[in-house]
Amino acid sequence: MSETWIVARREFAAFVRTRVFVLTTLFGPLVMLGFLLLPRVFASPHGSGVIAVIDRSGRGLGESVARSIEDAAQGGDRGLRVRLVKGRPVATPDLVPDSADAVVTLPADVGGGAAVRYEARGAAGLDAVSAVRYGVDHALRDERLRAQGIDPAAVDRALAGTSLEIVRTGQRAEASEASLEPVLYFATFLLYLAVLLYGNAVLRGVREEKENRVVELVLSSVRAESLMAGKVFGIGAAGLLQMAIWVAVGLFVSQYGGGLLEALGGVAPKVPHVPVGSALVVLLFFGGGYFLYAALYAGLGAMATSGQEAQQLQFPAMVPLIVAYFMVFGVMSDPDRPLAVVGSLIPFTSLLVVPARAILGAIGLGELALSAAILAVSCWGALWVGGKVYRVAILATGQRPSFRQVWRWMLES
Amino acid sequence: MGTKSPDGSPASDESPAIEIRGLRKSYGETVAVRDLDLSVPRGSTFALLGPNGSGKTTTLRILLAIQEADRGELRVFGSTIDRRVLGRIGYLPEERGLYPRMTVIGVLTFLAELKGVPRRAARERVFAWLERVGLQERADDRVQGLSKGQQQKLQFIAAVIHDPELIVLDEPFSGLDPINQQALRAIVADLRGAGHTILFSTHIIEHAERLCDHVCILSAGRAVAQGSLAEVKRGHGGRHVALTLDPWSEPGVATVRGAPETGRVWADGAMLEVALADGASPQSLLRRLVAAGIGLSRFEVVEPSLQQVFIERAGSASLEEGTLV
Repeated sequence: MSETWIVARREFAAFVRTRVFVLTTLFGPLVMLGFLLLPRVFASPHGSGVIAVIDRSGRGLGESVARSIEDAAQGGDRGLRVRLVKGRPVATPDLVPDSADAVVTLPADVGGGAAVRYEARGAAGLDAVSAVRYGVDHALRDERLRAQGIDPAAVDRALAGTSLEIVRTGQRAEASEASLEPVLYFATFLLYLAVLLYGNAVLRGVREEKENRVVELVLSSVRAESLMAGKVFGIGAAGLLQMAIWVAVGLFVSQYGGGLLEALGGVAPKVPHVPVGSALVVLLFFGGGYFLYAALYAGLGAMATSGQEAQQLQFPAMVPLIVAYFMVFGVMSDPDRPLAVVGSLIPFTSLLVVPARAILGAIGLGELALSAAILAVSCWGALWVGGKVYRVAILATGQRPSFRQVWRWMLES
Repeated sequence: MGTKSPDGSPASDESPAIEIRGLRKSYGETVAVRDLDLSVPRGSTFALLGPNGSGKTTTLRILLAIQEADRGELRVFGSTIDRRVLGRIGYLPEERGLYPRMTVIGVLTFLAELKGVPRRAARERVFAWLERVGLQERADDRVQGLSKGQQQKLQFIAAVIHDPELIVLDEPFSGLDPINQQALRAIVADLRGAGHTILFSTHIIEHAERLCDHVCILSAGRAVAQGSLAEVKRGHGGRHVALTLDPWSEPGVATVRGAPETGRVWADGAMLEVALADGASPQSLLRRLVAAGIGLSRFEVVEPSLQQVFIERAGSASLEEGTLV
């Protein structure tokens, strides 16, 4: 049996039995559920937030402003209530009800240049401000249209938008971009988290082996490269298992738990159709990218002589991953821009950029093959360099060897 | 003799268990092993003796392919080191440890599998060894729950679980209490009796003298004496005389030191060990001392002790290299 396989099996078994793995596997879906429900929980509760509208326009605009604000509030589900105070040209403080959180005052010359005044107790909530802005603008627009003899409803009908379905020719991706966006965010975040989590687990595992002093015994049977590769594969397989469980739970909830989520006030995620080819690209680049970072982390773990040192060494290695994460947001706005193309070729960023473009159906076969080839060569290089660093640094104790020292040892060996 | 191969067939030749030629390893400016030649006969119990920092551990790590040499040639059972050869070697490193959260059976089975023992056979062997060292009840316990002495037994089992022809033990007695030292000596004696080749490093002469039949003394990365125990002692300077002055006196010691038959003298209270000068006979020395009226309660022709050989060879070589023993 291959020595890499024996090591990988041990690493897999050891990792899935750790408390961290069990807890994150169980609670991961709960955290995801939280992401779906929390926005509602933190949103303003219904019925709270009363806005008083004082109409000094003298032309009955207050009523339509109040209605428009209410419409805007309901449309955005902001839970605002509007109370119209009318009939007095000049408002006095006693007119403002105690229950009002904010007061909107329409001046006499509203629409003619005078500003509408918005006074709020405490900080002005952005939701309320935007509802008020929309309400006032909308009411004034309707008033002006009517003055021109135009029916505002007819204008609304004339300006009604249509849904845009985007179909990329020559590819099977037929989902609209609107529904793909959440999938992209979710997939990118999940991949980023996975590389970070499991790469870190590799680093920790290497360091523990060094601290436990078991590594010399293992290295008397296994080549350093095989030990490192086995560790990376074993922990990676455990990570894949965990992600598969999360994705399965996610699919199950979206399929059967939508009603329950909506009853709880959340929004059931709609899972768009992602072609099998794109899913395979995601898996391939995630696997390759994870391997690249994990091999790097293994080398760093071998150099570290304490947990604190490991953390210090790990940070610089995280930077390209963070860059890749933010790159995806640029890619989403235009998947064919030069940034996206360059990001697809650099192996430290392609693990996130290529899956994003594949989900959008925005990467050609030739480019895909080139990215995959660069990533594969980089993985081989990382295994070679990581294995060398591992071999020369893993038995060094006491003071941590410097990068220059390790480089010299590598050249000497 | 330990000439069986993993598949049970006899080895094809009688090449030494280990043959090292011109081995060199340095860490930056520090030379750990310098142009070392070493030959370990099959079936021998071979002690690699040397003070701390003399290159013992580095030599063993290179032998086990844990580290790479800068240059030199290394053969085990006539072959260069590969995974097949490594499967014929058992190793107990000086820096010892096990996976603390694994079970006893789990960790030993894993280490046996790495040495090429199939899983099922590995488990059977583990149980047999656990029974032999009295730990059969702890098979399913986690390693971290065992005492230090019990863990040391597991580490030793890990070195021999695959029934290796060559067993390499780096400072095997360090950290062991006297009872475990005795138990380990007994197991080593058993293994030697069964024809295994045993190479162990130590800086404690007593262990080497008690266990080994061959020795190599290392100093500052260089072999300063090598061969069978008798050869090394003989090569150190012929015959020695152990004598005890009775009563002890300063002039008596001075007379011994000043005698023309006397080469070097090592004094330990009233007991002296004298290396005879070239061509001198012990009888001549005895006659001279009796004629001088010096009382003696012991006058015996002996081989030089390994301790003397070690101190002189390792010490002088270290001084030549500018390092302290």
